[in-house]
Amino acid sequence: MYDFKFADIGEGIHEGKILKWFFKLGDKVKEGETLVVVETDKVNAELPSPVDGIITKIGAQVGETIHVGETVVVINDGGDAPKVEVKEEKKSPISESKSAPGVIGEIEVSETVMASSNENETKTIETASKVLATPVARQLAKDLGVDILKVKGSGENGRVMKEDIQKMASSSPSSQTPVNQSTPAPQVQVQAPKVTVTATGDVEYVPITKLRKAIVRSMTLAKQIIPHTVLMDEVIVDKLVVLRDQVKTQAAAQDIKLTYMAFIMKAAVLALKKYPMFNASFDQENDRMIVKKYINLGMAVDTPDGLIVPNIKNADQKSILELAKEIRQVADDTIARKVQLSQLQNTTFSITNFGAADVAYGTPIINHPEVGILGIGKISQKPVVMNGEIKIAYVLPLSLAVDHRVIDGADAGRFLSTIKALLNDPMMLLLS
Amino acid sequence: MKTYDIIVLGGGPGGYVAAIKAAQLGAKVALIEKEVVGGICLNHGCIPTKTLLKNAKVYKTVKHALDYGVMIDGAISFDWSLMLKRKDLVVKKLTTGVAGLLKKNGVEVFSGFGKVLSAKQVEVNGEVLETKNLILATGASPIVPPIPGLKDAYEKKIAVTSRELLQIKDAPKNLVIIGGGVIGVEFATIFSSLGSKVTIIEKLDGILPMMDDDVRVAYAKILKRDGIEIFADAEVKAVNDHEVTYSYQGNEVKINADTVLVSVGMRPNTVGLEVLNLKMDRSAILTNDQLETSVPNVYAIGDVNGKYMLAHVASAEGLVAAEYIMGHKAAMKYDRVPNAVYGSPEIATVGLTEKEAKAKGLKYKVSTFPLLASGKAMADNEKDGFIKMIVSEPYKEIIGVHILSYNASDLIAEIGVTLELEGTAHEIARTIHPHPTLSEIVMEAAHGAVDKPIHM
Repeated sequence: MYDFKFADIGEGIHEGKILKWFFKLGDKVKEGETLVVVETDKVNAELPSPVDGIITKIGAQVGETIHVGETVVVINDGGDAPKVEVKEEKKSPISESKSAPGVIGEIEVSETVMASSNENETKTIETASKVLATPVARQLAKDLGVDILKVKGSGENGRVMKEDIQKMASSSPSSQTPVNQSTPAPQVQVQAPKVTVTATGDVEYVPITKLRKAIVRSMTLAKQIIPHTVLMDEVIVDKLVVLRDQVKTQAAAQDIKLTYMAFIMKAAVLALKKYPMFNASFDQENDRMIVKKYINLGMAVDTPDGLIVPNIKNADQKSILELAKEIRQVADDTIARKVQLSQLQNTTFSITNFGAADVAYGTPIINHPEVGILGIGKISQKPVVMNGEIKIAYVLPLSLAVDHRVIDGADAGRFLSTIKALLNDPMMLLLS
Repeated sequence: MKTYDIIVLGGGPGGYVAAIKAAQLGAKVALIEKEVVGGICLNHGCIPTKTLLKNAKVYKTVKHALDYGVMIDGAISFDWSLMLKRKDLVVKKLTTGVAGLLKKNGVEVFSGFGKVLSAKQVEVNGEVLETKNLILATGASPIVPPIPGLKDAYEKKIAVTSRELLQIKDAPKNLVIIGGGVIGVEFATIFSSLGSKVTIIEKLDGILPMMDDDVRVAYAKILKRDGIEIFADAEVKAVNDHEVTYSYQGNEVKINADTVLVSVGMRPNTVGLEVLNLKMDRSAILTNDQLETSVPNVYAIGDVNGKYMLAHVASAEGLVAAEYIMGHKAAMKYDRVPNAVYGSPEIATVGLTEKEAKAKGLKYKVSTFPLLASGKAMADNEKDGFIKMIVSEPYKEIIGVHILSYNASDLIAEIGVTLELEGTAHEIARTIHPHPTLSEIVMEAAHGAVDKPIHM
């Protein structure tokens, strides 16, 4: 018998809703076959079967919520005693490659979206078993943002010692990411003031999805913590339009849909390289900036369920064509809710395209703990003054929101000017 | 040929504990001891000195009976031979107890000198025993340093080591102690309390050089107040029967002694082990945290590995070696070894001294609390001493505690547990300590480490 438990996905995710079962009681299942789809805060995770066998018990029905540690299924694999799947903590963050059965156990949570909230805290207590730990280890875990429940203790009776926390913190980039530290007491901050909303008249109560709850939390967090300031300007992109038209068909031959987004991303990458303070986080607790040496460009994707911001990893190492290809791929995956959690993590700067919604300007909300977000408006033809004459030109409106605690308006202006210059004369984009 | 899983060579607090633990874990064990089980600790060290210390303390208390409203008519005196008798009785009871424990646990004890033939064979009383594992627990012996005339005086029984001093026929009127370490200080207290004139000559800058500076300075003051002369930075140049010559502040000084105690240190007993060709660390056998030597299946515990020449460390090492041999996970943690000096008052410490904490570059805070502020100490008519607690920032983790107080050695165990659990001053401060007890000073020091003590 194999008792397959819902594994701890990571901080923030302690439960999931069963969306779909691919098997029913008594079905034969092979190792690696997808058993069930579980909706968590941000992704729909497919749980593969860990063994071959016959399903003898189903833990939760479609629509029900399953908590970490609860049985997903019991599979008769021919063994006698019930085996409990014990998972070793994976030290490295998950890669994009497909993993062995029980893939969800390896996924780490996107701290960018799911800073721990009170809701999650309570659930930890409900679902987690007690862990022996020393007082110093507990405090250190809190300070370093390490989930102590996931740490294997080296002390007597498996007691978690401070050294175990230090090792965990230094080996696991996600738990080490100072993001959690830089978030000043998210438990308190995230909680929106309790406002009782009373309903009168003919109303309908529509419960919000888990994704929407996550959006509520991250937006509330960002707006409560970050004093936003927004700069807006437009840039003439005639040359960019010509360039794109020229190479569009060649790209299409390679099965790549070349969008303006790819060029804009390239421009953003170059500007971020020139002004690294925009590719950073503010660690307020320790009075310092955490400047990232990698650029993972986030892009806001409008999905039927709500906004999700996946990122293009190492965008600075990719050509415009590669960016174009990956933008499409990641967007498709996100809309299909197939995106991996890792794709949502460690974003360093984000771009949102409200041009797609036929809008020119907006005041985008920064994806905490980033310090800036670039809003892209719709490219349209407008009358402009050039050399004392009114001409018709293609104009791209840009809106840049920055964290004014650490970036001043003048800095933001220089950053925006760099992007404008690159988009105005795209030869520089190609040469850089 | 008799075959064993483990042969333990030496029946001191390291050896007999290792033997009992191994037997409890199912091993077939033989223990070879050339004298009486219990080792130096039970026979010539910890226990006999503590017995004599108590004798001396009782004498001192009776002399001050009036302080407690107790009237004594007539002269107060002591009989040294009766004191020795009590000591011998205590030792006898304890060593008999150890022999009984060994028997009860099925350890075969051989009385005789065990000659190591190889890592697998030991000869005792003409019989060759075979073993899969060998634990060396042969202990250490007092060093008699090459000072001119000292060897001669030693042979004439004017100069003695701690071992002989515990058997001495008459308590010396005039005792000169070479070496102000733990042993020297303890004997100084015993004989000073009994009315002897005691002089300590120490080569280094003060007594108890390994202790925290605040403690050793305060302790030296107390000893001096009690009439013990201490010459630090002084070196003994010659011993001519009863005359001891030492250099002090550029002068050669001569002093007379009935008895000269040589307490400058101990040397590991490695004679007879040469055949094993073990890797050494100076004069001691090199071991790792599992007490393994450089030769497979040969272990060395206690004084012979020279790490900490303390009975409780030897016992802890014995447990680790036995468990490790029997396939359990075990390792020594040498950073939390408690240490005690028995005198009046006592010193007990565990963890880092302030000097060590500073050298390690740690961010720390020191909290002290004096005995004078303890109700229990006052009731007990004890005023000397304090506790010094060192905590690391920011968590206030306890990293070292130094107690100078009567019964300090009993107080330190609480800190040992705290270190083992990586506890902080917060937990100790929060722990309800019974009132009135001396243990409250630990809690008060913890309050001081967190914020401020209550009763100060």
